[in-house]
Amino acid sequence: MDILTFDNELTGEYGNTMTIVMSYAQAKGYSDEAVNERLYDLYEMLLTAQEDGKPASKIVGKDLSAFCEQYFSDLTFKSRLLQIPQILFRGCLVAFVFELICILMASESVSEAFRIEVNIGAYLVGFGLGIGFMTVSAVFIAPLVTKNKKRADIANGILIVLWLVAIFATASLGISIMAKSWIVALVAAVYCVIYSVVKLVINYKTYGTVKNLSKKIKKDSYYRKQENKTYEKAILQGWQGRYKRLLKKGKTTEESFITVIEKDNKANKVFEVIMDIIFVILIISAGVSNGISGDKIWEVLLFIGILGVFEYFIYKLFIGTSKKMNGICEKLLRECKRSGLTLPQYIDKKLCEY
Amino acid sequence: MDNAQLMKGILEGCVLGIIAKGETYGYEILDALEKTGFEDIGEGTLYPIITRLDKGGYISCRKAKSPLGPIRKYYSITDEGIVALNDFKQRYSEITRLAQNILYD
Repeated sequence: MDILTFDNELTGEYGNTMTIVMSYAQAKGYSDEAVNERLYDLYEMLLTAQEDGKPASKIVGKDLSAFCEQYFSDLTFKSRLLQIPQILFRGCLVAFVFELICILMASESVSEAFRIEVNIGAYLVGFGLGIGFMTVSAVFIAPLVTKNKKRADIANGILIVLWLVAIFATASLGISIMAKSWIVALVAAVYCVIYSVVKLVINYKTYGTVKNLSKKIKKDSYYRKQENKTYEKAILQGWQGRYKRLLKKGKTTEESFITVIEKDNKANKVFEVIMDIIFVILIISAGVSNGISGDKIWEVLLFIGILGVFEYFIYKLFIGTSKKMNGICEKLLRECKRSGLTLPQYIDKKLCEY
Repeated sequence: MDNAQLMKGILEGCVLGIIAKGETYGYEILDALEKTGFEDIGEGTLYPIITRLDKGGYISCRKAKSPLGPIRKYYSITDEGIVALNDFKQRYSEITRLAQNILYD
């Protein structure tokens, strides 16, 4: 579910309605696959009602709580239960990668690799707490969302904090359930493979495609444009604020402000390249220097490969949005230059369009 | 007496009847229901009906860009749907006749 995409075109009661319905679905813990298509349908209908000047109640009725219950009524507890395999899949993927790295790092021989043990207590406790969190959210938070979203958000925030406290408290209790690392890695890998195959089959039978439906919808040019619009608006508002501050201090003029932003952009690009280089150097040096028998080059390369793949996803999480924003900044600056307006004039004009 | 129970039985047939008139989409169906006098029918009621009709093979769905940009689902009745609609009309007519005999005679 992509709140960023839906936030743009729907305004007033239509936007509020969409936000509440999406928050309800999230609090209930429905998976993206189960609800995305119907949320996009609802979005399209609310947009049409907005365009027509008809009230949102034409689409969702007068009682939003009743609408939410009805709209998702076919997603029973059984279907929520089906989220557990997905959560287990993510946990197993992490467990597999960690254990593989541990085995490669800690063992100097094949026989030693089979003796290494790991405490799986933390995995089990984390999984159990996660299920508990999901249940509490679905039972107590979701009904609150349709009645008072602010209170629901506060309750959700408190729940997340309690969940984190519970995890740390449990870790400090030192629950110890030891198991052989290679068994944990093997079981995790087998589960991941089975889950992936089953998911492909289900996707194909349900949607006629093996591709991820959420990604398929997101690839649609309309929704990509909406997502970019959200970033554009945020960037332009940021520039507007910055211009006002710099103008007040006498540090820029209307004509020269674009130079300030262009310098920032260049600095950001350089920063991105440096981060990419640092990332690669760190991965290679971790692989080379990390306690693996140095004379077996294939072990080093395998370790670098696994670590690289794993760390890349985390790296992408942090740096991905920044790269996207930089790309949008460049596009806006190009448009501004083509328009012949000064940057402040261009910002004011563009913000009126949203 | 609650209207909801009464409506439950006939709404599916009425929605199929609207779709039978020509290719249409969700918002238009709600509009047609409202104009006929079915008030307070929202997407929450319509969605499960459409889903049931689709799964039953009585309607087909085509996705296309709406004039406003997002993808919209357009529904058409299938041959099985026409048969089901005629069957519904017959049963509805018969039930209405029997009910009238009891209530108004």
